Amino acid sequence: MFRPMGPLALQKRLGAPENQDVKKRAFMLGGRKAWLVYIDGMASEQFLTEFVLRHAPETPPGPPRGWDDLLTSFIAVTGATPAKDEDALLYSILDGQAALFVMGVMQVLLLDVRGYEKRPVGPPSGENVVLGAQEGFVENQRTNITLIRRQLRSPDLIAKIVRVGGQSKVNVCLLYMKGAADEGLVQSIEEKLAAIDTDVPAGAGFVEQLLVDKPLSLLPHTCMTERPDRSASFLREGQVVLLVEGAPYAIALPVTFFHLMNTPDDTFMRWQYGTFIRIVRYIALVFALFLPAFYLALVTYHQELIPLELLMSIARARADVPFSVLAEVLIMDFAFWLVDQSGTRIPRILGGALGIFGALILGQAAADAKIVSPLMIIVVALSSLGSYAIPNYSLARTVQIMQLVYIFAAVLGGFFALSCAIFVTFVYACASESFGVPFFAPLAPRQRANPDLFIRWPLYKQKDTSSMLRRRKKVRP
Amino acid sequence: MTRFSYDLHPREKQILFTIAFLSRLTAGALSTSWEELGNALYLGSLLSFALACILAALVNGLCTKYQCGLFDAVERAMGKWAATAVRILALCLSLLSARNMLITLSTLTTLLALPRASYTIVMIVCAVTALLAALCSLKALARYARLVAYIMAPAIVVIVLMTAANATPAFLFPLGGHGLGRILRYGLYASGEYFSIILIGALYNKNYSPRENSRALWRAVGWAGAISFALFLCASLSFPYTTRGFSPLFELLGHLSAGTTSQSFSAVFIFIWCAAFLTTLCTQYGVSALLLNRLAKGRLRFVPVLAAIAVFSVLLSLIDPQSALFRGLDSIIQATGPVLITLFALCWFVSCLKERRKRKEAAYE
Repeated sequence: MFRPMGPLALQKRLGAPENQDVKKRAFMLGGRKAWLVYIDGMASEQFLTEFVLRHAPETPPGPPRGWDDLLTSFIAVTGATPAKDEDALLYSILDGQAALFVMGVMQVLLLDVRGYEKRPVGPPSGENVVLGAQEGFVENQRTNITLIRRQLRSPDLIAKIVRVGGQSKVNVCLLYMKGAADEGLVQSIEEKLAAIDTDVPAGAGFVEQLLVDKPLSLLPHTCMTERPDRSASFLREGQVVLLVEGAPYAIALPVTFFHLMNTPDDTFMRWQYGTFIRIVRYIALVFALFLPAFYLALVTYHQELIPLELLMSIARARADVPFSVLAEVLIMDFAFWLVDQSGTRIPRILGGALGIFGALILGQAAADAKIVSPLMIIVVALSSLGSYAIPNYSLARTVQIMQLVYIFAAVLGGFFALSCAIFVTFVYACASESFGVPFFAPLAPRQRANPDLFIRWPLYKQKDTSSMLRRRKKVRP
Repeated sequence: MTRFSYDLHPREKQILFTIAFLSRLTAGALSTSWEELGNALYLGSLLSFALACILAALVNGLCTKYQCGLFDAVERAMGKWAATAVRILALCLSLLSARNMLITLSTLTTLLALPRASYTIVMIVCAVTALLAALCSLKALARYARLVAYIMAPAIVVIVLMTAANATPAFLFPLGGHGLGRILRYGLYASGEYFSIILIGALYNKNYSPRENSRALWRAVGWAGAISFALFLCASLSFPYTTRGFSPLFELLGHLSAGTTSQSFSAVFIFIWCAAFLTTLCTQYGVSALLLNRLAKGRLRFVPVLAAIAVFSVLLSLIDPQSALFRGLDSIIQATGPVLITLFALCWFVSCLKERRKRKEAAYE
């Protein structure tokens, strides 16, 4: 049995007296001296006063017959468990719980009286939908689990809490649907989480980076979402969802290309509208990836493919521009990245002004100053808009980087070099797997799965929802 | 060598095999290296396709009979030395076939896409590209081939529709003016080269039934044959062979580049042919690496072997086409088809004899 340290030793272990927010409160419980140790601000003093300290004087004298007796009769806190070991004791206090010591009792009771400040549930900031719920995750893990449970009221939904990290541990909640998720996958994720021994700051990004098999891969292997309904949808499909403490995002894994490209809007709308917006998004992806490279290849190497009127128009527009087409593309691309980055950092109130300044004034001024041709502005604007239409942030960044690779390939050898670059990059993408699931599954390798890929078929045709994620052993090409 | 293994699903094998077969068939038609061949290409392709089907049937028969890969089947039928000899022959053919694919792709690129580019540099770029992709795995290549197949299908339909619009039935079977010798020579040459592709079909996966393995092979032959001959037919319907030394599909491409309505499709065609040829080249690199590793009893390392094969294929491609060495290497390809057909038929015969003897012995006991 775990023999805990005393309240004074615990206080010292937590850094007191230098650490002034570690509090110790002595009181009488059942005629014995008792102590509460907690961290000010993390545990709610109001809870402690109302549900523990107020009832303590009413406790009849005499030794308590055990914790159960104490809990049922006097302590009105629902979450109360004995500490199992020293690590758990320390971590629970750091997490906002309070430790209850009673003189003569060789156990410490942990009272869940967490009461730190938290943000209320609000609309998601980066995954807005026209139809559908306007609820997004917050930084509080418990609230996030509740949000998912409200979407998925099933006894098969399992939520396991794993403590991850070296010295400063973070709670990671591993959610999956029993029966739908691959048990081997759940086990391997648990093992990977347990194996993380670096200090993880609270945030989903760190855990994601430490989890992926190939850290050098450019493609995203997980999907971050701030929507509880989307997380519930992932869980229904047999994916595992991780909720990291302090992160207003859920990590879903494994993912395929289609998980990264589809949005909740597609499902909320009728299938005809959903299909339409989905096709627009895929065209946007093609624009974002290939349009500048295609334009460069055409203008530099394959002028014979351009209709004469358009060719003349391009020649007239480029006549006064002193830079090469490549320089034009790079200048404009860089300008858009600048607008993008400053838009992220700038105060929200100035965002609109920045957009107008960046997109209109800068573009117009560049064209007037003959630095870039108007056609190039259209090409780069279309490709940039295309990259913003990609719903997944990581995939959008991958596309931006790949766009550069294709641009350089097109400059070096027109369509031929572009074809070679596409060949190599797509073969690598085909070889890429997210936790055993191929990136382009269920298209390549072909699998029997939910047909909800490019076309959002009617819901009655989408019965086979869990088979999209067959892992390596079971996949068919 | 974990990334490269014979452990391909029959369907993966099928898609790789189809792409390789298709690109080989179109490479024959696109090739400009055989002067004055004219319709011999078309008829020779028919002949070589028939010979390739016989080869595929023999390979499939042996693999199914022994329920193992081709080389193991040869070993069981004829002994270890026969299997090693076939492996060496297969390796030579695979390398020579990679050389031919590299030459065709570089010629096509320099003629149609980059007329001012250096032929050698284009060839090196192709080899490096194929090498980079080959470093993934045959499995990844099969997945990529499946993705490309979705784009390839509408492109082929477009070609058929465009050429069918200009059809002149008088040119359907223009047989005159070309010697039987040339047709035979081209037919034998191509059939020898097909063997390097049939090797992919011979990658027998024991985890799946012989029926699945066999079906994958025949489906691939069927698909590739049907598509290629539809293209050949369209080309022969549309273009009279007035220009000596130009193949029908090459003329078709020229038409696409110069035409007004179809010019914007050229980019798509360059992409598709590049994808198909590079996939085949990659597969040949991979198969060569597997063969070489097997010959070296699994002691070789994956990356250096592939790099060495890529370099070697470029060196082979740089040999002067007029030189005796080039012609000698081509003679090997030309002779291989009939030699292999005879050898595999002999294997089959020997295995049947062995079986008969065993049956007799069993009956006697």
